[in-house]
Amino acid sequence: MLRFTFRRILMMIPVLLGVLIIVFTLSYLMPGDPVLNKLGDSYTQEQYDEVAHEMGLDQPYLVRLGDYIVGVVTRFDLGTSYQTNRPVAESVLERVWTTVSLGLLSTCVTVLLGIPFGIISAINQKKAPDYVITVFSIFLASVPGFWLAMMGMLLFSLRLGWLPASGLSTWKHYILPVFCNAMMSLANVTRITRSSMLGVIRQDYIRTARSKGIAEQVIIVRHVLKNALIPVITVVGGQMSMIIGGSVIIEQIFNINGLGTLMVNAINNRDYPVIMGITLIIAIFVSAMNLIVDLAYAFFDPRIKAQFSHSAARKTQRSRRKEATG
Amino acid sequence: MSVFRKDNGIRPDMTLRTQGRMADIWHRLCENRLAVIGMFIVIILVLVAIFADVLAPYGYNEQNPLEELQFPSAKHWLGTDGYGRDILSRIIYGGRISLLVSLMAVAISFVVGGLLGATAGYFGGAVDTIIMRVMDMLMAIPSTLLAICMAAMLGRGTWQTAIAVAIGGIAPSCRMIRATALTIREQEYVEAARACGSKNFRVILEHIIPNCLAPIIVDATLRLGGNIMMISSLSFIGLGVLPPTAEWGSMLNEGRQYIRSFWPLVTFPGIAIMLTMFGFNVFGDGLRDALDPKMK
Repeated sequence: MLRFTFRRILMMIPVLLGVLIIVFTLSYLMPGDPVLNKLGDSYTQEQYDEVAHEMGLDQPYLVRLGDYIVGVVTRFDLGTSYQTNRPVAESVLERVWTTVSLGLLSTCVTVLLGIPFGIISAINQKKAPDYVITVFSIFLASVPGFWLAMMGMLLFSLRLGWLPASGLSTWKHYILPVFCNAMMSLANVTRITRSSMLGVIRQDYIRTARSKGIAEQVIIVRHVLKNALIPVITVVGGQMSMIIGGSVIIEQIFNINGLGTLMVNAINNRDYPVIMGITLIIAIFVSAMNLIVDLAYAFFDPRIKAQFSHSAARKTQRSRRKEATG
Repeated sequence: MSVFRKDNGIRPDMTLRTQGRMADIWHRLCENRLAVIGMFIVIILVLVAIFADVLAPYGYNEQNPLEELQFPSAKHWLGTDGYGRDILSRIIYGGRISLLVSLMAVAISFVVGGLLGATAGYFGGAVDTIIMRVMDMLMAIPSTLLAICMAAMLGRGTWQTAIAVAIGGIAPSCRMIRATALTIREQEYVEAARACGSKNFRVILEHIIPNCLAPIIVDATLRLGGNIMMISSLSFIGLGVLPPTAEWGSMLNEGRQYIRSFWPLVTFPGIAIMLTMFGFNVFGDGLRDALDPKMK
């Protein structure tokens, strides 16, 4: 397991380095001149050159890329905002928790509701609960989160006055953004749990367990759920990326001061270091979540664990040697 | 052999077999009620997009300051927006733009992702490792975020939005086609083509990609709906297509400022997005089940 974890962490390094290069190149290619944004309309060529030099924009692409990578890797220096002159890392870290907490809470809602709904649907296949949950999840999978957020705001905040419409200061503020962000993923997790459970329920070993007289609840929890959860965990990992991406849009609707709002402001002001910093931080977060999901996958599936354990490797080597010698 | 070559190498029994398979797929698709509903919605959407000029009661940018922010009435079935433009007409024209941009994005992501995936799967080894690691890098960035960055880089416009949305779809398409190509490259007909002296590029174009078509069709159908949502998201935050072009996301964005007093502008475009996504989702699911009943 330790070997698997170590290998998986090592695999993250080139991916994140690649993300750094992609993000930097995208920002490099973005139209508009940040020097002009800073200088305004009236300036001399000397002033322009001086500001461009100060901002490091007079250097060639490869030099700038090298400086950026060295800065990020050695000092976690994400550059300085063109607009506010503040270090990007500071602005990003100030708001990262808001976006991450929204994302994690939405993921929790997705898992805590999606998996039970999927189980209920599967064990009641072709009965009323199954039809209700299936129709509901198909419907939810088709509703864009940002529209659901607007409708939720219209109904629960503006008409009924039950929930606050903007900000993120009390627990009540979290309800609408979290649920609206989670709904589409919730539908996907429900659907995959149902189909995965149905796939396992039809297996011979479940029939054997039933014929032994084991209680149905024990069969569902111990035998069906444990095996059915493996593809669900993989899907949850993919949904996390979707949820974090969705947070960027949801934050706009509820006026939440997170990375999404910072990102859109940075795009409007052509503040490239901020755009790069946010994308990089979110990519690191998504990669870390994928790592956790992969580890969970290995934890739930003994075959993966065995693949990386020393004893299993030795056993395989021994059997191979035996086969070779005949 | 010469007899068979007269009709382009297609033997009569092969034609019958293909027809039989198509009939089976069609029969399985028609048995799935939800898929039929989805197909019906998709057909209506396509027809509305094609005949938008005929069906829309007003032009998409026909402004009437005297009739701004009107609630649904006999004259304007879904009301009017802040410039007095008919919401129904803008939704109809918006469907055309959404569908067109989504189709363009799917085409771009499948052409680029498909070629890369087929190449990675066919050659394997170092080529496969390099391509797939680049795809891993692209997949580490959430597709919405990548689309936002690309849209910011490319600027606003139809093509720009299509490319921005397509970039996020390249890596999943590449992965899917690579997985199919890995199994196809071991087939005897691929070996036979190579033995006949076909160049690698020809084998990829003529044998690998055509045999990946079934998963491509299913994935493209499902992705069309997802892309429409992504396009709306971009327009919603002020990236996407240029105003005054009618687009569902930009209509919702316009409606945000009137959300307290005027609900039609934030409701009807959203319902249009939802119905479209529902249509593509259930039709795509049905198509997948019909093409491969084992996956049901």
